[in-house]
Amino acid sequence: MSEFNHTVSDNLEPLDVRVDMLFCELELAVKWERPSLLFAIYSSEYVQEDVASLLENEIAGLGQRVVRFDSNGKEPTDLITGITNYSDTTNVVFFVKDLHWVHNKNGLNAYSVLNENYQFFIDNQIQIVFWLTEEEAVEFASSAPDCWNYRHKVIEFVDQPKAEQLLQHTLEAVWLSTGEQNDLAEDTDESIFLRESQLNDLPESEEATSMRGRLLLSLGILYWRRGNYNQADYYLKTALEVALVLQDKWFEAECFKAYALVKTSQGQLEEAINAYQQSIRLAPEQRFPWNSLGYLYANLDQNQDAMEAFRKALEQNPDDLVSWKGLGNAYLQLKDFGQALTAYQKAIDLAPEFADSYISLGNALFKMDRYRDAIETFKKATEVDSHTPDPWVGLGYIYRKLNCNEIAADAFLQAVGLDVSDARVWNELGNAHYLTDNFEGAIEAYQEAIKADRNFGWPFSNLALIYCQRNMYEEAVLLYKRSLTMFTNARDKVITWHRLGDVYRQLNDYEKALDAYKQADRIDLDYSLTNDALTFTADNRLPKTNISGSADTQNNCQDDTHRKPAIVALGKVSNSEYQVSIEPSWEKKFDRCSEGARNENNKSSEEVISDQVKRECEAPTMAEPFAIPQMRAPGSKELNELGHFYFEAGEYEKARLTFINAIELDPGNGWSYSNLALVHSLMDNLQEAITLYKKSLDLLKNDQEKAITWFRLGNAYRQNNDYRRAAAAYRQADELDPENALSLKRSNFELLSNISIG
Amino acid sequence: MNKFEYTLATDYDRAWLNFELDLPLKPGKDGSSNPFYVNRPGNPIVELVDALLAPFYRPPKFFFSGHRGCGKSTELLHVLSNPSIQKKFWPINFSIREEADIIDLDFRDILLAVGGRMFREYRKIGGELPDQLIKELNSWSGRIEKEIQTVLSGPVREYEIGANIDAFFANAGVKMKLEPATRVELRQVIEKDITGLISVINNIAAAIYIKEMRIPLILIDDLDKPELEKARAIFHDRREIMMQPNCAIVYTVSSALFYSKEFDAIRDQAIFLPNINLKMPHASDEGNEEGLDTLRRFVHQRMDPGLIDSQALENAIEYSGGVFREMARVMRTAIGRARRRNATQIEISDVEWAATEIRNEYRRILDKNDLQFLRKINEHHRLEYNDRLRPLLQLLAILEYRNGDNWCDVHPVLRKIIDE
Repeated sequence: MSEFNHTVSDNLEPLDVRVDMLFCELELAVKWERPSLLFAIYSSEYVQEDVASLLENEIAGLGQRVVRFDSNGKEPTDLITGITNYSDTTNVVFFVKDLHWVHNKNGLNAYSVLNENYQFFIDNQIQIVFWLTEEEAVEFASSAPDCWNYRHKVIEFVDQPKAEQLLQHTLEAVWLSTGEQNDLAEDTDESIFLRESQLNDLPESEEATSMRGRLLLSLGILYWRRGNYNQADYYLKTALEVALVLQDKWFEAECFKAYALVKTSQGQLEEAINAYQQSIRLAPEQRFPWNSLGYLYANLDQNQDAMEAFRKALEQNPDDLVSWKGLGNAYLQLKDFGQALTAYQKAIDLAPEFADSYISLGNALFKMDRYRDAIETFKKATEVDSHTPDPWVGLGYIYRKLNCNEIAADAFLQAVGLDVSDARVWNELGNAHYLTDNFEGAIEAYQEAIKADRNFGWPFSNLALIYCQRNMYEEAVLLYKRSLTMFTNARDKVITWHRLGDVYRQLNDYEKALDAYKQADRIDLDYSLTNDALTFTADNRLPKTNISGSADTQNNCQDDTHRKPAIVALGKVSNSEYQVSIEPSWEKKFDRCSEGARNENNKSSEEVISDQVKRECEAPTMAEPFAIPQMRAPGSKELNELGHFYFEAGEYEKARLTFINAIELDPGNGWSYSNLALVHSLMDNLQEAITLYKKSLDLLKNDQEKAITWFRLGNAYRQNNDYRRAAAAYRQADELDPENALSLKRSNFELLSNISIG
Repeated sequence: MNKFEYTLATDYDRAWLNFELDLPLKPGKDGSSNPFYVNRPGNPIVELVDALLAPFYRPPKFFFSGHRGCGKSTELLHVLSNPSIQKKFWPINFSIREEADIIDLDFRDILLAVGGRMFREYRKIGGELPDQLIKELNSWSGRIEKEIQTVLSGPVREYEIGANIDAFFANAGVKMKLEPATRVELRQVIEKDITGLISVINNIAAAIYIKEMRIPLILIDDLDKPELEKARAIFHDRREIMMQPNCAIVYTVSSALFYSKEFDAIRDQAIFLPNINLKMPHASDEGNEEGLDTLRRFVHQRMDPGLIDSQALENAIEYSGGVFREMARVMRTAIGRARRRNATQIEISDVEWAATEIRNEYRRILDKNDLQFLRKINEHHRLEYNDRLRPLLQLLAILEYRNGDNWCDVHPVLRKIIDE
């Protein structure tokens, strides 16, 4: 078959309708337990990912799960053996991609394997979607005609990627030098027609070579713009051959530049980078490839290289907005916040009506804990572009961070109003509602989150918390179990196994509770995550989306929060939860103040926030644990508080010494022993911790206080693999606190396990 | 759904199920036709049945051919259930895919499959073979086993295929299919004593015949799937040996082999199952009522007629080109669309939609030269040799018919493309 195939299909439905067509086939195949061999043809990796993810979400609604076979850096696989390894395929839909990577153990290629074994899929009622590039589709029909004849449906997804997926949409200027302006689609068709006619009419003479080369390059560009990447690829490769004959380096560089964009559109970033490098080598004086190259490096997390590329671009054009923004992103990734701010500000100065730069700046400020500035910046972004949800999400996170959950909920609500499809934002909205005791609102938001992404575990888990609160433990168990099937991250699993264990305890099913805790322990062999869960961490897991408007800065924020030492969060929350004998932390005071301000002075929410931010700036921040108010001749209570601050900062040795001082000052204060024990348990001095907890239990008077310490003791026993004693300790805790207040409070804090703390 | 129920669909979901491509139409246990089975006008399978029922000195061998999707497997199953056939023969049916690797198929694989399958099927129904025969067969399989081990310089566990005949036949097929190394060794050993294998087959066939008083009849499906060269090597180069088994056999062969020059010598033993003629050649407006009615019955036996507008059905039949599998494809696609738009009936627009969808599938895989060739076919309806002829027949872009002279046409959904 030639490389020229017709790619313009009749009556292409909108993408979501085409996804639904695939889904309906699978739905019926699942309903009737029949085989389904579906073919989805794509031209862009971005679009393929989107469609696969949409389809997977729909499939999950049928109670089916998707198993993917793709290269993804893995060794070549034997597809049939791979599928046979699944003993039960009734609840599985297979997604197979990258057919070049499929072989069988005898070395046959994918097409031979499939042509020989298509009956295997039919006989075993396999439901399978083959994701094929346009070239693979042609090859499939020609090399595996028997399998092709058994196709149940072929749907094309040769759509262009979304604008935000393609950096080259912002880099249209690349084409200026080629003379191919970005015209309307119909103009593009006519341009293609004209140039193809010209190409056909060109004489075969050598004199026409240069003309031919230009036409080929033009056609490559036009087909790229048309979204027909294979055709573009063909023309540009041919143009490159002509360029070699012509020995025209400038022209060759142009061809490589165009080729790089095609490869970028196809998601083949390494090849794109290579093409840009070739272009730069051939014509280093050309301007635009540098910023494109910068973005490609950034996409591959090669931030130093990205920075260099953007700098080069800016040397050539200091007013290049795209490069300034890219440079800011690279600085942010490298945690050079000052430089990042400067670069973003420069981008804003150059294009004050471009919201994206404000969003990036807002994210950077948020990461620097400069909340007031971040709020102002995000607000500016909403003024510049009232249709983008990202600044609202950013605002939501800041208000959440400041414990202004009602206002956070309003912000998240604005965001979901602009984009209803983002499950993570719905989940955040649910969390904000939950923390303001608006449980109905929370339930609704979690349900929307589930609807938007059925494979996202947290809304299930969070919904379960509310059910727990309503004593609907059986339902909660089901939801937790469901969420456990979705989590891939060890940390999420550990937290949820703990939650599940807690519910079983509420049901007085200690055997299952311990089984759940053991599951958590099996995943978390060194207890690093268990400690997190046991001490009710305000988790550092940042949702993948929405803190910023661009993928690169999202990653930046995400990395930052991921790297935050878990133990800091652990200390902070454990204090709030347990150390009932000491004064609340500054945050709580701050909350009370803001509450008071709101109630007493009838201040607007804006004013309240303004006050809060002001206080925040004056208050010692969590990031600066040693900037603690000066304490002279501290008493036991103050020393416990000081110990807490050290604890939060991860300064365990200092915390230990401080709690010892507290004990020396007041040997009758049971909390000092309990807190000291907690430090020991985190330092893996478990026997020491157990002894101290026991001592604390002798001294504490109040049943609730004792319940907390029994619970801590249970945790220490578990950490020591002494499950029998752990169960007994938990039982004691529950008997002393029959109202289950502990669990509810705990749940309240655990809810935070899927949000950012900045 | 473990057992398929052949019931008339009264809603779209069930209708979607009933139009599954290549739904196996197994006959009833009492030999009755499958409820979805549709007899075709001038069904050539009658010729095959008559030929099988005719007296013979040597159990006959026939070749059964036809284009993809035309209903070969269905007709073979129908032959299997024919009471006269059941009376005269002890019939079994299997796909060669279950026994051998069709990409690397060899005449020895087929013969081994014939012997093995006959033996296993007979044992499965509780049939008992004489002790002496079992002894001889064990001796033969032991010798084969020993030779393989000798070839491989000593016993190698993974090459063991079983010491006794039950284990041998149970495992040999699997090994032939899945283990290329064993396959090579087994073929070499059998090659040296091909008459030994033929004897084994004939001894088993004779034993069954004597017990059942019916000659074994083996219907082998999917032998049309190997490449033409492989098929040629089996059915032309090794034709004589393939005729040796002392049981009746129907080999399926591809249309490409059927039309090859080498097949001339055995064409009188061959039966071709054509697509259903929906019209007369060179008379695009003149429909063939018998053919049209066959496809109407194909639909009405699976789906309540009220679910589809009558003109929509006529259009669907036209778009099928008289190929059952394509009819099922058009119907399924149209059902899917009607279902998505919550319609009470499949309408013309749904069928047009289905045609467009199928057309788009071809659009991508046909190149300029293909389209040019299809335009020629559309003009003169003659099967002219072109190196794209076979692949296009294989992909059903070209359909062949046999009323009067053989003639061909482009798949009806493709007419719009070639007119562009």
